[in-house]
Amino acid sequence: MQGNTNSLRWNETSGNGYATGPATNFGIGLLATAFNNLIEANSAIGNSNGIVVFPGAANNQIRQNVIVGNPPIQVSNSVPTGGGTDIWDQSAPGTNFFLGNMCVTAVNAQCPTIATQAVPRKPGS
Amino acid sequence: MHNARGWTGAVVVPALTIAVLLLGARDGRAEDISGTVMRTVMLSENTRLVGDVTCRVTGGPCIAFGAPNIVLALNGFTMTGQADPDTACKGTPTSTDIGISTNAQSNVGIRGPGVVQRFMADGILFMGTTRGWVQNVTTTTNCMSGIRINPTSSQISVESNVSVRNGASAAGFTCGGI
Repeated sequence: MQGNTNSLRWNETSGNGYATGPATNFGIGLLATAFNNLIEANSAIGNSNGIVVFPGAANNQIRQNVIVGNPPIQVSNSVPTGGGTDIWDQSAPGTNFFLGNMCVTAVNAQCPTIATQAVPRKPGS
Repeated sequence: MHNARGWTGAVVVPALTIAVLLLGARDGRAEDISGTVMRTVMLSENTRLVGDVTCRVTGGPCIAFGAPNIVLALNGFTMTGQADPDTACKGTPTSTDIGISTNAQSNVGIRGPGVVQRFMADGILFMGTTRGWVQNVTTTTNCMSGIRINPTSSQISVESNVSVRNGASAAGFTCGGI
């Protein structure tokens, strides 16, 4: 996502992205121009990275998402140089807001945290 | 093939059971699309798929919005681009070959259920759009992102979609599910 004042809710992202290569891939990405967006109650499971907040992204709310298994365990072992994490916050500290996400691995965000608030479900399910 | 209310430059292959019906706005119906598309379909009114769509467009989107305040309903059908079903583009996309582009139109929507797959760029691109939405769509095996909202788009609602097996490994293509 690169725009502003958008909302992502109840989406499921899985198996996206390459573990190696010059471009960072993800399940959900907030790129440099992403501003004032809401990322709520989504799942990001088994991607090269789960949620990545890139430098320059600001004032975005990332809350109550389930972000686990990024990358899958076989990728972690077979491509050890690939990196990958559930949440990777590359933005300046304090410029984006994380609340109640369920994740296991993170860089510059609160993990591991098993947050009971994170229960993404599609409406009606 | 069509007048100003219909497709712009769309080429239809009759042998592949393509149905394009222009129905008047008065009865709430609109364009119906199915079959093989050879040039970009430009939407001018509410539109739905009435069958699977195979896209052979190069150098542009398969379907683009050409007017504001309209909806594309996938109606349970699948749009398929030219990428490989197993390997997509092997990491190297073609940035112009998009599945659906909002094309700078505002207040437009894409309604599932339906699948947008195997496009050599993004599956769905919100480009220069204010107020838009996409709901209940599955995007898979696209060579850039499943759904992308570009820097000049705002107030877009992305809800209850599934985005799997999208991405690129080439330099400059930072992408993934959404």
